[in-house]
Amino acid sequence: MFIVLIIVIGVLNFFYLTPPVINWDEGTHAIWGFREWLALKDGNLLGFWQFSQSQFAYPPFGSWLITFLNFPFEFSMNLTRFVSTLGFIFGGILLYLLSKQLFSQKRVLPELVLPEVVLIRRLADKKLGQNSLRHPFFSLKYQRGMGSNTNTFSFLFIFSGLDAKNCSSIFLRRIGFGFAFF
Amino acid sequence: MLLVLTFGLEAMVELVLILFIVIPNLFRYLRHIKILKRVQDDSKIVLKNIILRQAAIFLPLLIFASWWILTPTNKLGWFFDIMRSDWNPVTVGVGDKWQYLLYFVQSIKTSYTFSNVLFLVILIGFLASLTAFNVKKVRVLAVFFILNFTLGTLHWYNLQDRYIYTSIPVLFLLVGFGWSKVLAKIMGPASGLFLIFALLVLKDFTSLPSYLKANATHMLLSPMYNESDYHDTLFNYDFEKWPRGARSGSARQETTEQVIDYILDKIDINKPIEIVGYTAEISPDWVELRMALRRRDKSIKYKVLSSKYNKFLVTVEVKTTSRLYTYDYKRANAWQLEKVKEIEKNYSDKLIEEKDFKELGVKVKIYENYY
Repeated sequence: MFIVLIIVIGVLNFFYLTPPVINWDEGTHAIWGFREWLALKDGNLLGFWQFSQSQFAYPPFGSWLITFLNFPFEFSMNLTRFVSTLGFIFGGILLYLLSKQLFSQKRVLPELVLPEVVLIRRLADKKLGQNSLRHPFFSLKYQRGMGSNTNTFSFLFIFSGLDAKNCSSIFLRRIGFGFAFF
Repeated sequence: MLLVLTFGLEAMVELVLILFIVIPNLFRYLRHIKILKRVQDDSKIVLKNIILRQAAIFLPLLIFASWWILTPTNKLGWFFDIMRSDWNPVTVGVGDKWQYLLYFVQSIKTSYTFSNVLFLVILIGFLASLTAFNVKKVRVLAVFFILNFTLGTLHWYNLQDRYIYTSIPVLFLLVGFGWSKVLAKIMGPASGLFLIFALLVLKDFTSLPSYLKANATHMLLSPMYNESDYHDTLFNYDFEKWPRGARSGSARQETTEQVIDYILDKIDINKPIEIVGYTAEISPDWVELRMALRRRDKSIKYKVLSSKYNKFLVTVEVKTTSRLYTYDYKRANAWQLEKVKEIEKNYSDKLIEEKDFKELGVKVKIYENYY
């Protein structure tokens, strides 16, 4: 369920938040990805290697992601920007796993912390039961049982939603790759 | 391992973050040595294991970083420049000390949450988590966040929301932990209070779609959605006053993409082109990419003006009334306007094409430019 929701949020964000304007840094990341993509398409591995090496401001990992995602297709800016969405989704899942590692005790990350989690959840599944109204912040717990991963789930869910706003450009998303993997 | 994987991948993208990996681990390593000196039994084996484990994690990262930084030329100087992030500073000379001091507090409030109520929740949770500072996991996370937050604030001349980006998840983890402590004490009698909280947040939540875009524009200091009422909002945290005017879609609205396409339509893209007057939205790399994509698209027939032009000179003038005449433009690119005027004066007889994008407030002129 968590994975599905993260994917849905990621995809919705991509379509809704991606701005029409491409700013300076975004263009820079895209052009490096394009150069590497072109080299790979031409079977020029040496060229790919050289482009990777030549990037002076950022390590080439970001451009590799752009390259590999575009590789089966014609290069497009939409696909390039979608890399961030993939990072966003992958990042959400990783953070979920990470938080499980960090706080594995029961009730450590109650969904109460971020109350809108419950609200989003309610909006999502249209359940406005009495339990939920009475204990809005523990509704997920009631639904899925004590000690399950719902706490971390909730936390991450809202975290992903909140951070989505910062994923509106590759410029931020480039750092987002980092964040995403966190 | 997962933690290391995440940090490792992050560091590959943003090598600055190596500091966040290496420094804590260095302390950890030194601490181990100190402990092992006290406990003599099997200390060498334990120490060896620690070193091996650390090496397995960090050696590939070190090799990758060395390869990238040292080849094909030594980029170490540039790398440190990037790490310091003090070139082309955004906030120098535009704020007072309180604005600088509270920048990231405001940032958490406006860019990492969308609701004052939620911000209060985060604040309480964070403070509550600090009461468990003696718990190692909490301590590590708290130090990570506070360190990043403090260093970011000290970097007052170039404050940007994204500079605490990577530590925000840590903050949220702490908030979660803090609230679990608070809840354990007050949950029973205070259930109704939480419902009120939730409803207040829900009220803010209704403006979320509009808020997200306005916030992106606020953070990037640029009309990212072609907002017709764009104005600078640096240090302005009042969402009601952020630009939220007509965005892309209006038939009358001109876009930067149209400007780029106009230029590329009017020149021979296989010949050299020099553009004076780039903006953040009409950037060299983005123009180059659009050119490259056109070259690949065989279905488009390009207009070649005349073979006698060996190269083209293009000026892009952003008028002071334009929405592109932003704080960021004035700070980083407005210096080119003088050059644009100079070209207009000296090359007027070589003007080939021109177009005034009146709605956007941008004037483009294309000159022939002989070798």
